[in-house]
Amino acid sequence: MLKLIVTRLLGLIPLLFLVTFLTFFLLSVTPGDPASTACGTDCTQEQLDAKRAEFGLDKPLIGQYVTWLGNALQGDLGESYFSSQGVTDSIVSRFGATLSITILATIVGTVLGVGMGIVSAMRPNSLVDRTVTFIASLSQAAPGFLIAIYLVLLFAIIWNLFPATGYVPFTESPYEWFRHLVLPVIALSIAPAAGLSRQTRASLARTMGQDYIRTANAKGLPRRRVMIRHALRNALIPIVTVVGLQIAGLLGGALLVERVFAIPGLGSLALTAVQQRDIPVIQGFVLFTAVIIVLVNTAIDIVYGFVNPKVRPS
Amino acid sequence: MSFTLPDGGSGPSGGPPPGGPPPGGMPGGMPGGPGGMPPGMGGIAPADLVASGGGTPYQTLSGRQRFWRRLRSRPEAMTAAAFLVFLVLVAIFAPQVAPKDPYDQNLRDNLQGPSSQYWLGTDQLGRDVLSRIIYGGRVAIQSMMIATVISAVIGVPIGIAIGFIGGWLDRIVMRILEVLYALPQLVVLIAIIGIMGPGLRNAMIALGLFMSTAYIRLLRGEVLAAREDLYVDSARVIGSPTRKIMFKHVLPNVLPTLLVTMTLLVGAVLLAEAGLSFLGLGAQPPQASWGAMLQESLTYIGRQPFLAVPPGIIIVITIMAVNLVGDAVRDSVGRGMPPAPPRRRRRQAVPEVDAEAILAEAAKELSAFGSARFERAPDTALLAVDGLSVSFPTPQGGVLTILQGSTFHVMPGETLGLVGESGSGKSMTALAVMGLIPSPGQVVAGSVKLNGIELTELSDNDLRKTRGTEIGMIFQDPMSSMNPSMTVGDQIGEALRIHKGYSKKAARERATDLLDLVGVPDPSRRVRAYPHEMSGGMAQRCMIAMALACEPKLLIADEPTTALDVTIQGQVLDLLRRLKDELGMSILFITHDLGVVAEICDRAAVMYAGQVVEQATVNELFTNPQHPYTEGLLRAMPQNTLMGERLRTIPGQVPEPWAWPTGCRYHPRCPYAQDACTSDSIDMQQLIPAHIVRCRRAEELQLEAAQ
Repeated sequence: MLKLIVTRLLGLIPLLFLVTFLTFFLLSVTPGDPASTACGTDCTQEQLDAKRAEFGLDKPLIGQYVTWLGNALQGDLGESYFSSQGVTDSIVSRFGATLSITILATIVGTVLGVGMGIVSAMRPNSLVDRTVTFIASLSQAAPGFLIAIYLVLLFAIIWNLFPATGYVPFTESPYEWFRHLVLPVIALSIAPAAGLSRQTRASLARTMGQDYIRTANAKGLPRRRVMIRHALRNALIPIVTVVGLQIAGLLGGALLVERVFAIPGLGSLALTAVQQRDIPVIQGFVLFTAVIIVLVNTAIDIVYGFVNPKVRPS
Repeated sequence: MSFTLPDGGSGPSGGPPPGGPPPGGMPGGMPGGPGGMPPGMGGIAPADLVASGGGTPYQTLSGRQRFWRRLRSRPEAMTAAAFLVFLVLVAIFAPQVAPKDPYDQNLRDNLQGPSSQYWLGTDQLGRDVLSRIIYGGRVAIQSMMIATVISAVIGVPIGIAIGFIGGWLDRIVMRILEVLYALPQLVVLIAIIGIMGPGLRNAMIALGLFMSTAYIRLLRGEVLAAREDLYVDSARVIGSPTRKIMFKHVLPNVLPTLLVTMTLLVGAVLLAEAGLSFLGLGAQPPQASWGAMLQESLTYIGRQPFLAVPPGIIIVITIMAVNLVGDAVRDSVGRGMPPAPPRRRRRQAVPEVDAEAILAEAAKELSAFGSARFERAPDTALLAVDGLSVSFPTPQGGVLTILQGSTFHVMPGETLGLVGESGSGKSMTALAVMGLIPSPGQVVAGSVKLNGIELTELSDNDLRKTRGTEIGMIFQDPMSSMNPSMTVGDQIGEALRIHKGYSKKAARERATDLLDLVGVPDPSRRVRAYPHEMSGGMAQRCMIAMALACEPKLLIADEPTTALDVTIQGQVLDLLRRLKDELGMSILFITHDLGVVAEICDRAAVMYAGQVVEQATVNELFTNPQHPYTEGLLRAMPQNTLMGERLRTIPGQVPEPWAWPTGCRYHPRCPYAQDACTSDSIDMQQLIPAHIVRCRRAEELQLEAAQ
């Protein structure tokens, strides 16, 4: 098991290197001069040169990259062109909200999706099955932020059950944290839940037709045990991969949903940076997201190794 | 998930992703197949190419007709298409259709609900919402066109190029795509827009760039697959330059798939435009875009909640319509598949309604089908099967009886072989004895007695308790018959824990002993192994250990050696013989191999087309066969073939259950068949003690014995 984890982690190095390379060079060829933008309109040549030196733009590109990469490895993603705050600090301070939404939506989406998938598989064409099918096709056309807006409309404006905007860190008040996250998390988890329930249903149906289910029945096991120990256990193996794929989408969706609820997360940071062409912040944001996603994928790989003995090195 | 490329593979539909096949995979996207497209189809209209997707090259017209017929057979897709046409027309004629100027501010009338003057109300600046929705349609269509064209124009050539050139270029591009796909799509878009700056046009160029990856992957896959194909090879032999090959030969074949991808991408573009404009990265105020309208409505949601309703609804409806049309196009172009859902629904409905009644009817007929003309199984028999019939309801409302009046018995300590070709009903007999007939099939007549207890009358729960304790069963393919995610030890111990209440530890110990008993080396280590870590022979030994865990009196072995190597086969047979003697159990041994029967069985029952046709001791059966089918099987044994002689076979094959002939079911293949054999049903008869046969000419025929 340890070997699997180490192999996976080592495999990340070239991938992350490529990510930093792409992020840095693509964003560095941006048309326009960030120094002149930051300097403002009445800017003398000296002031401009000073700004360029401050941003390190006077050095050759490859040198800039090496410096940036070296700093990034130490956790320093540079400084924003516009605010004095370090990029790493502003990302870390805003990541809590985004992470809370993403994790909660992953959990809710997975639990709901797998649960409804099992019910649909056991009772095909039942009310649950048909409802889930309908929601699944609807949620393909209704993005999370749209659902979020309508949830605000119903549960915050009309019924006033949950706050319409804002975020309270968990450390300040777990209860308020929860209350502020209910609507964003529901909005974000509907689509993955619907998708997952379809996948679970299909996977379970496939598994129920396997030879080893017949064997389990021939052993005289109770139906419940056949379903859980033999069918579900194997049906969930491919589902782990699906959940992993969904996390990246959820992280992206969280950025949009944050906007609906005016939650100060990574989304607002990135949007402000894009509007201002604040390149270090965008670079830091992309790199940070990439690292998170890569780590999540690795974690999923490892979980996959746990649930699927075939990939586990013995 | 906010934006999803249709070939992301994780969409809620769960359908097969339309994306390109993996390198070297099947050329799945080319329904025409090699040579399916006449070469030199220069400036051809998309519809013709779509038509060739139907599978008939050179018959473009009928193919096109089929495409349209398939599309038309889906009314919801037609409605969706009509809606989209309407939307496009309204957008084109927006200045004529819109009731007001979308930019005309009227601050006195701001934030109004729907009224006769403003059908959908007004926004914060008093602009007419309906007019803005109509003009927003223009933005959506423009965005769609920019992004779609850019993605295709960039993606198609790059995809073809890297597919053809391959090598390091291919590796670099694919590596970059991998990184792009790992990231959330929104993050990639934010990065690209970060480079170019916000604004609708830039956002759509960014989107086009990002979506070009879908075409790159698709085209690369298609080219790689096409390169394997003969017709490109032959073009190369003739000496066509590479570029010409690409455009004349590959592109026409890919176009149907390309069209589908494009249709499916449209929905993704619309979603992305809405999302990006909502974030302020796309359309900028005062431009009327559905996404931007949502963003504005959010600011005033407390004062005029209705403001959020129209743009949201139009987004959902439009994207749904696009997806419906996209799905329909995919299914119509795609490998000749008819629209599936309606058909499936019909197929399921019939048996559900009528199954019980149909089977009850069948039962009445079959119970008359007796076993009267020969001696009954002795009272001391361990297993006595009498007149066992199994039927399935058919979708047409009929009934399919796949096992008819099976009669045989197994004495304590005896091995009975159940012999016959594939499709003769051997396995179904075994499953019927176990009470494991797959739904909606049923035992409709007959009796199964184990130690004098009627199994067909037991409750489901009591029958379940019989399985694994009184009767154990092993199957043909040990690998697929074991749960891949459970250790062998847990699978063996499972029955003990359920039926006998063993503790986890005791079950593990007993499992180790059992592995030792069935001759698995190093059992204390193997008990922790997973099935995939074993060879086929070892796995079958584990299966045997599993079946024997609760020391059943009867072991049903369903072709347990068929999937194994010949040398391993002998070992497993030896093992079964030894275990039978050591444990004093009986075996019902199902096989198509008379050689195996001779080796391990005491008696044998020969089955043909759902009936037992002959039953006797193995010795008797081999030396004095009474049924022509048995004779045929004996003759076909390689052991009975002389050196240098052709292997003999029985001409023809076992008919399918719905094509069983009247009279003797073997008569079409029987060299001794007479007219009488074709009409009357034949009962079992006993001519010599302990030898029964289902043949009207048994008495007169002198059949060839085994040598």
